[in-house]
Amino acid sequence: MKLKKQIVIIGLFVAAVFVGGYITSCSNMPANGTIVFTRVPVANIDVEKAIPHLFKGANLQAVNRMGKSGEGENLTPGFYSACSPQVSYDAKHILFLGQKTETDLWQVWELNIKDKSTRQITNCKMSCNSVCYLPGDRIAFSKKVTDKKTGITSNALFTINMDGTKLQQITFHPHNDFISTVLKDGRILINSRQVYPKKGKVKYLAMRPNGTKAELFYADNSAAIYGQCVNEANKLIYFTEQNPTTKKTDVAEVSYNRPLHSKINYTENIQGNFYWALPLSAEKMIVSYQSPDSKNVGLWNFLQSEKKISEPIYNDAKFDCFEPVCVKPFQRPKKLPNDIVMAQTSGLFLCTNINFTETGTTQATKIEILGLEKSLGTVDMEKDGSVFLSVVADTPVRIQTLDNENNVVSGPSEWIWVRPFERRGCIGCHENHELVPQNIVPLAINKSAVIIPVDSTNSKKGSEITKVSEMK
Amino acid sequence: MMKKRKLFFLLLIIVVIVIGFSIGPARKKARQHVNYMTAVDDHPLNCLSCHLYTQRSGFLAKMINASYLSPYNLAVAPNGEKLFVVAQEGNALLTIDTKTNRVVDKIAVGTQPHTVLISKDGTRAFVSNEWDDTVYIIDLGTSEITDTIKTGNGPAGMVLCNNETTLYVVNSFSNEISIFDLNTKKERKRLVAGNNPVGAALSPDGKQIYISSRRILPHKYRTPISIEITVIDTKTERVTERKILNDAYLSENVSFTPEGDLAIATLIRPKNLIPSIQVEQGFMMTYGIAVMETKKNGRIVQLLTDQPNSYCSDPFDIVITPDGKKAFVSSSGADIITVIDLTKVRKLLAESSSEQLKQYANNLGVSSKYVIKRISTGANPKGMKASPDGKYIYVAERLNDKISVINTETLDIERTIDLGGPKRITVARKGRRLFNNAGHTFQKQYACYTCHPDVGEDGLVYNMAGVGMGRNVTNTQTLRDIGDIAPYKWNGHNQSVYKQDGMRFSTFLTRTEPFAYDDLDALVAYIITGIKNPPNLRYNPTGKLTDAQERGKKIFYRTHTNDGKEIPPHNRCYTCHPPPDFTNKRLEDVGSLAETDDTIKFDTPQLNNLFNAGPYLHDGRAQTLEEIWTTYDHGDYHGVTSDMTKDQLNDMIEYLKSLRDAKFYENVNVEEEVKKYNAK
Repeated sequence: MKLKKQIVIIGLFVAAVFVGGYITSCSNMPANGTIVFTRVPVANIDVEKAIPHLFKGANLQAVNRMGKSGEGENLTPGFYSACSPQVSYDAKHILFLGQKTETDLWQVWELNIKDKSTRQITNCKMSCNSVCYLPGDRIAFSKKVTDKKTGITSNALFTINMDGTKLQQITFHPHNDFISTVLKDGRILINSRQVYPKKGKVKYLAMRPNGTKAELFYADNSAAIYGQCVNEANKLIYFTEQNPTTKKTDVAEVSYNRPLHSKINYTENIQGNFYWALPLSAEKMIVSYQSPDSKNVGLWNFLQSEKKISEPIYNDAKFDCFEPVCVKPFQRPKKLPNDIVMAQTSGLFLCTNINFTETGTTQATKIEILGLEKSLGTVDMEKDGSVFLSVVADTPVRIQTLDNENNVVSGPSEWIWVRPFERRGCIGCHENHELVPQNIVPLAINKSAVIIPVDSTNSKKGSEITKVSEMK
Repeated sequence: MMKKRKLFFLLLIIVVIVIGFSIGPARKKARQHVNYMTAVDDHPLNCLSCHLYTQRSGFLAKMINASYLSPYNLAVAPNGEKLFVVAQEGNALLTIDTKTNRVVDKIAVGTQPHTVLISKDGTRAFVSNEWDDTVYIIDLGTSEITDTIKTGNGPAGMVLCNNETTLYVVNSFSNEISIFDLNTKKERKRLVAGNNPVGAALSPDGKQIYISSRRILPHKYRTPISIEITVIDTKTERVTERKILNDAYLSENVSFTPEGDLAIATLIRPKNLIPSIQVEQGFMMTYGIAVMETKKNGRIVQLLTDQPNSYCSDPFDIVITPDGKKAFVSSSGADIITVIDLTKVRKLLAESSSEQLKQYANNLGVSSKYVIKRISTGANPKGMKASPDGKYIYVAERLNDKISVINTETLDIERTIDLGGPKRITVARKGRRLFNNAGHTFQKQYACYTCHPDVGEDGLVYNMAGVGMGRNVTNTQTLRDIGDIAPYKWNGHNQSVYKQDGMRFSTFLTRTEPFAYDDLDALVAYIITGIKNPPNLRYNPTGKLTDAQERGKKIFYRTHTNDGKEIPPHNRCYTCHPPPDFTNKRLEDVGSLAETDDTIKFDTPQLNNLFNAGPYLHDGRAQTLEEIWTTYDHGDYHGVTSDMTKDQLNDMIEYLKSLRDAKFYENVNVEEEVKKYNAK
């Protein structure tokens, strides 16, 4: 009897310790549904030039959605600057960009939500920029790179292990690339803008995390796309973009299933500018908004169906608020397989018909491949318009089509690259991105791929491969 | 005492096994074994997944598996009060009271029933039994089978016409249409259909029947494909037209608008001729419908039901509402019903040039012009029927054992009817769901089922672009009855189905995240245990060979040529193709190497049920069995055939076509067969 009593008392004591410990630990961590955002002293930034967004003197603030405006908790007290929070899929960590002191480079850090501890992930020689978790144990971020031969400077994307090892560059074109989000299908959505030979328009590209299959996802006549876009279960992607004429910045939505033709502008009839959008449900989102008579950007609730701003979540005249994220677990995107082979030095590129364009067929007979500095040669098309190239990996090229007199028929194209052992295809030049290929064997693949740069002493067509039907 | 001792030893053995596999050298061995079988080093050491759930017979197999109903097609009583559901695996016709949503009757029918029709007065049901070559006529008043009609091979879709005095039956395996006089129950006529015909629809005026078909028509190697929609005049009972649907296959069903001006068929538009390098842009599969104007020289327009970044895989049935305004398409691999606004389709047809219409067939965005909703359903939606008043669409959720009821106004599922199948989902059933669902490919572009319909093969040659882009094209292989015939893949690189469907499968085929291991285990359990070959009722219904087949068998087992020269043992048919699976499970060089192949030897395929598995050889270059030897083997590399007369070759092929499932040959002794057929 005595023993039983003792066991019960010990059991109760152990249970009390566990429960107490649990409650204590929970009280210090942001609750599920807490909003974390970047809070920047108003004097520190010019909002119009907020991309890339490395906000000096900023910190990560946590607020309860239902809390009073202005109340929040600084999650990065040990940092001179911290911004760009990204919540891990299990909502246990937050990835962010930070600098401990004013003179430090910006590096990628990770915050443990439970105990508020931080750890540095990158140790780059250039400041890191936009960052996100990838499915698996890697993250992606952006940083400045300079082409050694041409001196062209741009922002390229990189991936790295969570322990800071195995850094790999994954974009290789003269664009400023910043990460927006990871789509549920596993691809990274990139905010991308050409910088060479001339400044281009900002676009969204979708690309596999190993840098393969980069292709246009969304583009409009916008001057800039701001804000982290978020894809929700209902397959909608939200972002803010600036009208090049009026300079007004609005919240827009596109459908994952038809991104090029499904844009809805939610705020065109609301005065003021919107810089970030965080959808919380089909009805509600949180926006970074600055009304015309306000000197700061605050965090506000926004009702989608009514297209109107409701109450503020955090609005302090001394601070601008950007990059809101919600601390809650969410479905991990697909972890896509990696089919590149780093030991290879080239990748393959097939165009099924260079004369197939969005506006109709053209009369080109060959293509010219343009490198950053010079032409890499011309390649004759096959009778069906197909060309099959072996291109040096991780090197940007553009393609333009030519007629017999070497006049440009179409192009040049966007910059493209192939990763080592990547096999990539397109169905035409300046194609309609909603078209799929016709089901025919492209004649070019019956031959070996033409090696780029083209050796002028060799044929400009691939060498013949004996076809099955001719063998016997 | 004896019992106690037995129990003690049993417990001891279990303890030893558990300890052994936990800490001892047995664990190391088990780890090595699992690593070898799965080709990865982190697959859980779970003996049950491989050695229990893959049991095909015996007590354990019975215990772990369950008999599901698998509703496939259905029909509604003329007054709408009853629903009749064909339970494909339950081999039954279920009657449902649509008011109470309960199963009120279950009538046993033949094997693998396919379609049910109900007479206009609601008194009789006609059920085609695809694996029995029969149609049952059932008195719905007594639930008795009153007549059994012998059909061609593989009866599937049916049509009643001429005041229900005539029954058309589509013979899916023998590519024919049988016409029966229902007064005499005799077959009056047999017409030639397309390749693997299945669905049938009667025009509203009763004058025409359209028959859809699944497999492609004969064509030049590696050139664009097509299938046939067979058009029959019900008055003359003749085929009046063979409509060709270019670049398409697997057209499961067809339906008419109430006006009769359009017939619409489901279809798949595969991209098998293109290297599958850019799945991001539909380089593998697309899905849609063929809209056929029924007037003379009417246009055929193909429209996709897919949208950018998302696909509606494996369309099966199409139902048009009685008011002709909406069409519902069941996408069995995507678990959705796509709702099409036919007014918008008509507008599109009227406004678009022929060039635009041609381009729509490859345009993922155009579906936004006419698809008004995509309704999520339970697993594997197949056959559908509209209620007579057009208020509801009934959907057979094959792998869910349920019927969902869609309200045609709200376009929502209003209710679901449970057919009373087993509630637990077995491992193999889970695997079957995975097999049939496109969720495990990039952007849900294709399911395993897409290229392996009915778990067989789709008859296409694919360019998977594993290395390069024009190399190693491969003929799709059947997955039926493959549990005992490792290695897998034409190059024999896969020692198990685990490896076959593992990491490389995801890198080069599904192009997305690999199966989680429990999903992979379930998929393998389904493939290993669940897939029988249909009976070879066409060429070998009784097991007794015809004279020609018997002569062919003698050639198959021969050891000497016609002029008495001994055939080297390695070059005899039975050496590489011994029963019961008719494969030696090894890689062999039969002179079929093409310049574009990276391997010389190929996995010896099994020959069971090969009569309907064309094209043949690893790259599918032989459209017929004859071509293997007459066109592609000029050096007696693929057995010795050069001495054969034409009749002898024909006989051998007749024998090959007679081959049935492996179980039939389990007790065959090859040596005895050789002795018997080579006796002087």
